[in-house]
Amino acid sequence: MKPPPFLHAAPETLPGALELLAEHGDAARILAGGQSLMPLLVMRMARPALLLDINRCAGLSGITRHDGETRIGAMTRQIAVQRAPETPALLARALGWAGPRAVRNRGTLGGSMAHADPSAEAPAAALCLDAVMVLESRRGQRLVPAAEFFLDALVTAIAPDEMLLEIRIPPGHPRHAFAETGVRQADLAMAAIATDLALDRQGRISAIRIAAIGAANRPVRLPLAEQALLGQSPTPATLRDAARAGLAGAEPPSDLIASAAHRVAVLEGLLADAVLEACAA
Amino acid sequence: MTDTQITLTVNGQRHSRRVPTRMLLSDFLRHELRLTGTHIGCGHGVCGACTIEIDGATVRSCLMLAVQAEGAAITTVEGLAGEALHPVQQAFHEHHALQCGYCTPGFLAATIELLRENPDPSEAEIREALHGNLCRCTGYVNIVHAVKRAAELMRA
Repeated sequence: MKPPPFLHAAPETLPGALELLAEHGDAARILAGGQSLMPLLVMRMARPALLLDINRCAGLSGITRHDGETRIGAMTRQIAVQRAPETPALLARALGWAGPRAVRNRGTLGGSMAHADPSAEAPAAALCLDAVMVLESRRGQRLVPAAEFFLDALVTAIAPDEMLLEIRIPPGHPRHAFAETGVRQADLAMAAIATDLALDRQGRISAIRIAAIGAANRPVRLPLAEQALLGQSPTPATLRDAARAGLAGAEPPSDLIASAAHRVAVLEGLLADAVLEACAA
Repeated sequence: MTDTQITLTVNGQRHSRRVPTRMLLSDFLRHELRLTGTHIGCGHGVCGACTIEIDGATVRSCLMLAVQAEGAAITTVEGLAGEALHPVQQAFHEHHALQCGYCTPGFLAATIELLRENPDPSEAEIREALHGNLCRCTGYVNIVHAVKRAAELMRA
């Protein structure tokens, strides 16, 4: 298999990359780790005139902490994110599901966000943790919360002249869990739940965030489940009711892997499992 | 800018070539350097047969462009054996961990990376580390046995 012809540019500075983006816009595709874009190229589902390779662009990778906030450069490889002590534990857990080792060695955190595959783990973790995407263009910089970033399958809020620069994650709650089901072990997610939460002294849930993969054509939060669990002790009955409330209006995709109804049933079970695991941790 | 000059090191040997920018690294290794031990199973990052080591980490060579390997140090299956087989190759041989051998170069690369970081992996850890590599004829049982044996050989 062979990609269609394209111009390849590998700028070494961010201003150089942003200038090319401003010039080429929609005709350019940014090549980060290539673990999603390269298959699209060889299958000719993507035919960019310009492949803007940012692998040699300085200053786009690394993980730092600022007042409890974790800042992860978009080009940081997934394996590095997974293993860094600064990485929020939920994100590290989620990345453990994100493809085999050779893919995580090359794939980047920013690439996973910008590609926005609805079955990808990192976007769901980012949504659960209220991450903020830092988008840069020659027009300037803007910050987009994860809740406004993932718009549809493979569609994000990134404008054609913008580049995802950094993912910022505010301090989270002390407990977390990530539960996933696929057709085969380690296969693409059919459904998954990411949660982080806090318990009060009586063991009741005092804060909780829940994000789902497979409940829609993009990762979504389940606010009704979050509300239903707030102030509750995690019993089988409260968990079942919360899961049903959270997924009541869900419109999951129906495809060869699973029907919409099956995804809802699986998600209800995963939600209960994840919250219980987080509470027990 | 559709052709680019690249210089890289493969199995300790430096190579310099002018390549089309759209050439995949897997095709570069096979067609330009004639290192046909790197096999292409699916060509789009599913099967793991083309897994090689670049600058100390495994990657799927079909998911990289040759031009991206400028300056890189690469090890392919041809670079594993010296006078004797690499211990992982020896263990795969002893335990009949290959039948047709098509997937083997990728399994060897993934196994070597695993054992470098975890010299005594459990069966679950072995299966986790190899889940990105597909074998369609040998079956995985003997491959797992071979990785266990390779770990013994390399610890000795």
